[in-house]
Amino acid sequence: MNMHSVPAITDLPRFSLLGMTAIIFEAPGAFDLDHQRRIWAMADIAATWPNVREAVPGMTNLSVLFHRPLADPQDFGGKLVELWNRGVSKDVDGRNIDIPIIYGGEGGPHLQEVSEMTGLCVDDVVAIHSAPTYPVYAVGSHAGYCYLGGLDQRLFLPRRSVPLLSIPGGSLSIAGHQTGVSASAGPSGWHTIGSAKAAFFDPQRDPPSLLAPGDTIRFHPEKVLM
Amino acid sequence: MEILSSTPLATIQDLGRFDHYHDGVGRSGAMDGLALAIGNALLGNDTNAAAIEIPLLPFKLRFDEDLDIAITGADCEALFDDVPLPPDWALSVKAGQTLTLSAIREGCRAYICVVGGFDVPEVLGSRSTQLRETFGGHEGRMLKKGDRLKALGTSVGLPPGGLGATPFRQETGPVTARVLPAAEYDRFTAESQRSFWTTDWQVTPQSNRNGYRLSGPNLTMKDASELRSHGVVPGTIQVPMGGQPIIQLADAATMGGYPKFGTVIEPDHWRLAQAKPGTAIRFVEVDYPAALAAQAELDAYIADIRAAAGRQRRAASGWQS
Amino acid sequence: MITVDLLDDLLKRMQAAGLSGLEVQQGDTSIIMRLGSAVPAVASSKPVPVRSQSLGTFRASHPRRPNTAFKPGDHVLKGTALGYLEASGTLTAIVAPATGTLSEVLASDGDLIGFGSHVFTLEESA
Repeated sequence: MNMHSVPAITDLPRFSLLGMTAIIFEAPGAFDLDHQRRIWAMADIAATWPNVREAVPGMTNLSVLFHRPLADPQDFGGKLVELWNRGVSKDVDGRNIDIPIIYGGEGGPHLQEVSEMTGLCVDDVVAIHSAPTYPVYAVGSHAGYCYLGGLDQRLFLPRRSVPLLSIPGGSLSIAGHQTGVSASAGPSGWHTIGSAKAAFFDPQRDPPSLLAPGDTIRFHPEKVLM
Repeated sequence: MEILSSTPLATIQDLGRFDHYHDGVGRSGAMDGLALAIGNALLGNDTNAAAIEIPLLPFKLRFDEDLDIAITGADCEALFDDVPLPPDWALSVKAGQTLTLSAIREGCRAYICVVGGFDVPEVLGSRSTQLRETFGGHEGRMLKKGDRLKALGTSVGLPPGGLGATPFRQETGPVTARVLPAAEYDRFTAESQRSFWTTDWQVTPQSNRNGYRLSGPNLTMKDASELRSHGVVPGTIQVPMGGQPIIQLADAATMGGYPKFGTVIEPDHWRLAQAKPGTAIRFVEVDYPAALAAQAELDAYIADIRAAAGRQRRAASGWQS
Repeated sequence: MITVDLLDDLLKRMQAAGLSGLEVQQGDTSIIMRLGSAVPAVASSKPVPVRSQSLGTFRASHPRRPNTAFKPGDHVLKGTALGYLEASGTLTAIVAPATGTLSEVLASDGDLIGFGSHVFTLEESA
């Protein structure tokens, strides 16, 4: 099991049942923004189909949730494959949000460990992590959480062997080929290297999530604490 | 009504919060949707009326108005003032009377339904408590002693002595949950597939509204490779690296990355909801038509109770007037 | 005439004298008092017919609680469901109209019971 690389490439588009009221479509090919743009386009179109409650992008995959169990899931899956093969792409002119981060310190307890595991000095970890403009590929896991693409390969690390029972909301973490900021307190198996104050989710706001797929994030190092 | 005593984890739940998966908002909602449906059917409520879900006892409350209520789900010692109540039962209460739920005889989650459902604000289309994000339900949290709650309705005219529902099905032996194979099913070894269907899986104490961790033989894959994060729904059976399965449930994350062995079909979620730690669960493979038939059977059972309860309430109102 | 005050007084005297039981007769009323036991104080009793207020198939036990049927001699509280009438998915209860001791069970499991049928007899505790 190689946790350091981007996940395996599937050869063909495929779909599978997730219970009676959801189907997952998985795109073939590389894990990149071009493929993700096609997933966003599929989500927009599939969301308008009858009996579809929501079409939610994952990481180069799409979950379609239904109001009622499908009469014929094979038929529906076929339509998703057809939709993928049409090759429609969605180019989002999303918002770009700057998020101030305090790297290390109490809110980033694993920064030192990450430095040791990657063989980079702490300043380099911070510089490498805060350099890219990260596109939001998907929103999910918990409310307001953003799956970001574009983490520098030098920061790819396996998940922690013992997950933490709870990290506070606003924790900036990395694991595998991903990075993200938790929107609320919860368990985590990732390496927490910093903290942010942004409110990624507010149920009273419309829309409740700060960011949507296609938006971009830049992490702005406010402080680096040892 | 006022909560006189509560253990942690009692929450307000309706059918769940749908339509916000794209914001990462999980379903939440009653773990035992059947118990919620029975309570709401006996009271003639909207199917989505909110109830209190109580996973640990004792729980005690005092009513401050005349009201019709229903107790469903786990069969527990329920005392209305001093009088014992049957399970799955709707009754009329008067201001000042108390309800005490104590020792559980069978199952592990009890529900208190009220006419009209509990009057808590609807947030993002639901009254369910979203525990992680601390919104919905009553102030976005578990209920505690001293909380005051109100029903949206009062009385629907129950027969004297109350109104109950016949159980869906009386079963003995291990809890059975029917499963549709999921995306990575074929990537598990033949031996793991076999042992999955033949093992009495133990529900471990690390089990809650998020999910149940099961204990049994390790399940291994022919080719372990990392998955891209994808949608997860309540009922999804994931197998992390360690090989011990987890059933994701009402408060599950909306996305995950562990391989998916299968999904417990929706009409069997209530069986899981009532399986306390230590219970044995046996999984039974079904195909899609069998899953549809199971859903139809459960839907018909609830529709029958709803129709018959309506007749009983109309008859009761007729006698009283 | 037996009053709550009288019972309180008797209780105090029993406790003071270290008595565990006491029988008092007053006219045609007798009181038996026992300390530290669950036996209820039976002052007098009268048979009360318990009638169905609905119709359906008689169930002596709740279907989720097999073999829990009440039998003659059982002490029951007012409001307790003594038996059930099943009708197309619903159950109604035949309820004890008073606190007392069950003396007769007149229906068998599976019997069809109509409205107003005499199903139980209860010796009401005064």
